[in-house]
Amino acid sequence: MINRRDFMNLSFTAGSGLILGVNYSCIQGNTEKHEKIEIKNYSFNPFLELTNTNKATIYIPVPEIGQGPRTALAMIVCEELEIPFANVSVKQAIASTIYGDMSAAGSETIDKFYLPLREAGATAKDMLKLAAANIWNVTSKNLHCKNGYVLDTESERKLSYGELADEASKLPIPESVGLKKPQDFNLIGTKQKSPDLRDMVTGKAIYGFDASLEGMKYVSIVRHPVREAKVKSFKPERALAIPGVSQVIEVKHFKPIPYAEVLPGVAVIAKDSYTALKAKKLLEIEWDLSEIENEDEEAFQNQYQKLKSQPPEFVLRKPDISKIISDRVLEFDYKIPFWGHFCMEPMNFLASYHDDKCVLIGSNQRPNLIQDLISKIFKLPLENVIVETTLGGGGFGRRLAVDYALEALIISKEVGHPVKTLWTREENTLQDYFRSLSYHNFRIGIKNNQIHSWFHHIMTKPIAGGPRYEVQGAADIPFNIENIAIGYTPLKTNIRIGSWRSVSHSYNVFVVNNVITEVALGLGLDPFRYYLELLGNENSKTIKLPLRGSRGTVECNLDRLRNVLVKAAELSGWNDQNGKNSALGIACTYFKKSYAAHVAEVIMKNNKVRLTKITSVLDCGKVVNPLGVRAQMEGSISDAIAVTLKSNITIQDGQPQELNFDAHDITRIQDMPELQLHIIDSNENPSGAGEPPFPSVPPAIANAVFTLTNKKIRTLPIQI
Amino acid sequence: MITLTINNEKYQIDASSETPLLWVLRDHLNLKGSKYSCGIAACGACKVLVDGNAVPSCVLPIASVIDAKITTIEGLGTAEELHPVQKAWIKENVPQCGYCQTGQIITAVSIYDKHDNLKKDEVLSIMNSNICRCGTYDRIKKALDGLF
Repeated sequence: MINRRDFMNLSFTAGSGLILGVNYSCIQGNTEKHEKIEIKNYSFNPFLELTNTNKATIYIPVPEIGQGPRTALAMIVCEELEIPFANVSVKQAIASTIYGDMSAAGSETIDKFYLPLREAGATAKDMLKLAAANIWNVTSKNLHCKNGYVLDTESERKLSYGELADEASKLPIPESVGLKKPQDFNLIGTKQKSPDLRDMVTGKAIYGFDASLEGMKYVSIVRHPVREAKVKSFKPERALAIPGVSQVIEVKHFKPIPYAEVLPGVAVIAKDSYTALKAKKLLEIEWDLSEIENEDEEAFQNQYQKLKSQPPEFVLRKPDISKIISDRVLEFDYKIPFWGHFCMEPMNFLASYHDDKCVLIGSNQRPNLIQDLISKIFKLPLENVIVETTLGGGGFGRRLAVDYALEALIISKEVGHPVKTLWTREENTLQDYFRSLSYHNFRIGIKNNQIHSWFHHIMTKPIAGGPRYEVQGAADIPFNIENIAIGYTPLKTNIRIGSWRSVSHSYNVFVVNNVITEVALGLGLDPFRYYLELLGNENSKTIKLPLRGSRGTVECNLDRLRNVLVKAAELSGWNDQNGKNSALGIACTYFKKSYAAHVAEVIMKNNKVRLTKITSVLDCGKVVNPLGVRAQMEGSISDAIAVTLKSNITIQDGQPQELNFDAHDITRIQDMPELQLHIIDSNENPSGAGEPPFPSVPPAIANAVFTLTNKKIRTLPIQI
Repeated sequence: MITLTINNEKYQIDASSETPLLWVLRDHLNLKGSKYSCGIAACGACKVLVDGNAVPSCVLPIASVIDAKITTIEGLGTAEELHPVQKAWIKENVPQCGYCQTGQIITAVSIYDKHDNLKKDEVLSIMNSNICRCGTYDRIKKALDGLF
């Protein structure tokens, strides 16, 4: 967490009243004459500038990839500043350590920036009040702020923020600042549309793919479908013969960190995209395939069979084994496949390396990492590495890796001019960081018609060595079960893996919830009521795990978890089920400080199972922008339908097989069922909404399908 | 040189005849509202109107549209007044990341401007040719409800 005082002080030379920029605007007067006025910008802190024309500019540190920080974060500043949201222009901040961690990661944006942004707005508001008090020669305590004005109610005087900006920005930053009470909020909690809406529907919005720099050329790179292949030799002549191709260079394998692995290949540099794409087909490359392992699904399955017969390599939770005496043991084996990210905007980046100064422009989820990494690799001071983040055409975790940015910069340095790399859809899939394949072995002991022991052995390829990002949603189950044993064993594969919306919750919550419904139905119990029983009567539970940092102590507020579960059951009509041709499935989970539950409804029509409705309940604390939260709930459902009912990635001969939307279709408009969304009204601190609604959707669908068909589901997508 | 008619203007294009229209729009004419995403006409992000029909431009050779009237997202509506489909998209706050939305809008415009009185199912079946990875479909449906 950023220290507020340091933060506000770092923002500008205190007391300087910095004018950041001057431009001119024509404002039409009543007399048809155009009056030219000078617009001056004053910086109050790294988030906020005010103009003398009473407009605010808010700098958004977190990349926009469709999750809405440019709306929600700006709203938070406006709330405390007391300026209308419509008077605000939103700009994306360039990478800087001043903002702390700017990543769009882990659904933490609102949680992380809620307080700093409120303080940023409130601090500026206090300075504006004080400026007005100085001018009127009164005490600022009797002044208040509204709609971009400081008001003196006693004398009915008012001054606009624009009129005060110059004076106010020169004042010292207040030592402490009061914040509004949540019940006094008039913007937070209201439905606000994206500031980029008009640009997005008119084609003016700038994504990485659309960014340009003077003198830039376009680059397309041939890499081998298998990661370990190396370039042995290549013949560039035929590609170079195409008019408009300026260079063909080799790109060497370079992996400073796993999340910035530049894969080997041969790059064509050309005057435009199509020339580069066309010429690269003419490259003749001889590959060194000596280190390739021809992995496939069968090899993974064999690995699982071997590993599941052995004790887990890591033990996360361990019961007293001597106490486990079950009447019978139910065994479950799951295989949850690799998933790709399939961002609508494939990877690309614009980079310029010139005179030991770098400019990197594009869509990414981690501006600081790009800046920091490049500064270290090329031994440049941070200020010589300018990272501009454009709008991103989706992220879902893919853009947390920054391989594409490093790759573009390496090429720019070698060719000596700015370059724009473009990856084709197929390359985007082949060089993805997939959500890992996972296997799960459960042994559920039953005693007195109850789950008496719960053994879950998880196997995935770990993101960082051991179980760190791999066990959440499974090891932290808050169930009222006497004996819980959770183990983890790494899978070995050369397939590159990374974060995917909700990370390990994406597979663990599926298998956990599917087991619960199957066991409940097997015991003749109602899955919803049995689930409630598993959640017990305590208000909260703390689960200790042998993991570093916050992952080692997991808090689950059981009241909130039970509440979303009950609400989902109630809204979906769980208790009124009577259809022979339809069934409901229920699932829930918590993700950090947010809680979600889903009920799916499926029907049998013409001997086919169809998903007809999803009820979604989310508790993410105080909601900043209900439109943004709803969008995340809808997006989670759409994502879930794709991976539950439509597509996955399979590996054959070491190569991902489903590379484009023809072989890997994702959810389309006709796949969307009726949606019933409910956001819990809460005054808890705001928490994430991007990932938390996702994990419980796939098991809700699977549980409904199982209930309707009695067919056990052990892998995804469900074949129905 | 190939002459194309785009958004009611004629352009002389210095590109080989097999060049897909998408790259000419983006790299030659700086009309970047049409997006590259799949390159195989499977997702709709690159759609433009060719004589009123929504067509993926990523696999459309410019030689095949020499005599056609091409409209891109930049050619919809006017600076003062957006196209009704664009207005509906704003009203329902449809976009999230927004990358696919120009293609979605072009498809909806192709239906809207033809006044064919299609049924809701028929409209959705045409819209099914556009992918949105953010899952904005429910809001697209609401925007369509207000249009058709």
